[in-house]
Amino acid sequence: MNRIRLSLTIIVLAVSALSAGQSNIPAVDLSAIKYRLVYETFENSSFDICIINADGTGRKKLTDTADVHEMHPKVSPDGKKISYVEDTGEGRERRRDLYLMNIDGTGRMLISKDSREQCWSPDGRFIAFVKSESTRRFSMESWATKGLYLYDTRTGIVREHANNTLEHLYNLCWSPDGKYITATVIGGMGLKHTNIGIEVNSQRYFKLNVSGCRPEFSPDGSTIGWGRTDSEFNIAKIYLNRAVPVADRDKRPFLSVTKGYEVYHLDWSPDGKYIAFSFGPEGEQNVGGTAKGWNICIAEIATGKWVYVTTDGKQNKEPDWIP
Amino acid sequence: MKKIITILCIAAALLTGVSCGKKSETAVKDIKSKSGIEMVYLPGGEFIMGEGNNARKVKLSPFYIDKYEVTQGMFKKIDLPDPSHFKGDKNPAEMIAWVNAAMYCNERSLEEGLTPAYNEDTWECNFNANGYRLPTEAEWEYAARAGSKEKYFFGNDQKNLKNYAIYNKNSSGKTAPAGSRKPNPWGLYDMYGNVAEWCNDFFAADYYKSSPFADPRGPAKGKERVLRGGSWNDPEEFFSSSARAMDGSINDACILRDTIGFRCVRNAE
Repeated sequence: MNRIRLSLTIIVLAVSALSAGQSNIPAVDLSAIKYRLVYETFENSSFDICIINADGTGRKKLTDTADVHEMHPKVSPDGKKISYVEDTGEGRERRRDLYLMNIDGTGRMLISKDSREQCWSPDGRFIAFVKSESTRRFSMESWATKGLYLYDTRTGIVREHANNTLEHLYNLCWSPDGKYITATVIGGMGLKHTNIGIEVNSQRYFKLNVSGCRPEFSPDGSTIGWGRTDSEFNIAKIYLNRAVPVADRDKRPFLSVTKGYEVYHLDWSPDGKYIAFSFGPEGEQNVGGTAKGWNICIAEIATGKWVYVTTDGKQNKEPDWIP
Repeated sequence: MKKIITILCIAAALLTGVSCGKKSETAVKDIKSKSGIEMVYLPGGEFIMGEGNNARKVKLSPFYIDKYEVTQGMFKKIDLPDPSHFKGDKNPAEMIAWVNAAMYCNERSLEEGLTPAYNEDTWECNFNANGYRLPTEAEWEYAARAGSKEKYFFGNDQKNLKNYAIYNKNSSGKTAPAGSRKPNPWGLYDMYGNVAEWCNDFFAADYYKSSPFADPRGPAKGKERVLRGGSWNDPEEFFSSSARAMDGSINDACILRDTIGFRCVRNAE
């Protein structure tokens, strides 16, 4: 009898997990969310950037190029612009450049060649980014970067950060108070694999006490979320004025998926109530990586419940909210 | 008399054939690659691979192998991204995913005008290419043994390990410059310790029970690749010429390890 009950429980749990976002009564009421999202999707042999309502309606491609990959969209704080990377060429001859366009996909403009992993300053004036480390050949590795650069959207001038020893940074995120840029680092500055905070206006950087990848600030700057592993998000309070900005006692698991699946690309909604993320079978989460079956999802911070926004599985990654 | 003449003719013909044909070297020999990298030529031959119940005879074709583990300086020389944790141009490159080791092999091949061995879409190795590749597991063990049949290439006494290997008792918790200890009898440094070395083979625990006798190249598919040689972080009990290990950090940047590096080989022409 116990075995039958256990089996029934397992079946019920499995069905709830599989049907999330597709049942008549979704775990999260997406229609209550007023924001839209942009993300990258793979269609007709290349990545393009899409815009979509949070409830999965109104999907529209902002780019539609067969031979060029447009990826990693990041929306400006005023919601009017999107910075993104554009990959052209194949194999070792591939190159990745940083571009800017209007929120409707018009007015594309090159910002910096051989550049990637960008983020916006909270006032929308600057775009921080890193450059490709090797001039010899393309590398898809997220960490294969050198330096930290700031593009001034008013003047068009690019300047290098005061600390020119920075290397192997990726997953850049600018703190809402404008003082820090967080990043994941692999094998740079004598660090093995960790997440750091970099002061925007000095040479100082420090460890966040966060292991894993891709720390992202909540809109009020009080909390960060990150991928502790490829299958689990953590959330914690963050105090950037402390020697150890994230205390162990503040860390808590937020969302996890079963073995064989991954979650990545966490991004907080402008009201701080939700996170958008990508989810799918084991794949390559890095920009340009193959991630068949991945979809965009939204989780509610208060309940931890989550639902699908897209269901086509077309390597949908890198969601970013439009304020 | 006729029979003697016939035998002499055959012998003469055979000798002529041998002397006129392409003669393969029979001795281990130091060489420098076109780009100046020190390598060692290893003549082909047979050896007993593995130990105990898993031991079996394997035959290998001749090949060249790097005298040292690939260093960070070698990465820099061909302008490739180097994620090493313990910085130093003479230290071995580490935090190297298998795919990035294969990519290095291809770039080094191009640098020397050789045909790259790896297809960068599938990462399949073309063993007929004349370019650089990772050693097969059998090639690695053949090179490590250097003709020895004992547990280590220096015999069976574990106490001597400190003279030949950077391991957890003498590493100070990090890698050391390549070639900091004594080489094996064939002149290869750091075959034990410093960084564990990627092999080309996928890992399968029972592969050598049914592998081909000549030039075995590992299972056709797998999720992990073979590692050999142990690292600066391993205890002395780990080391031997036949000790096998494996790792799944083939192309995942989130699980790079500062204990893993590699050296290259290429077919002897």
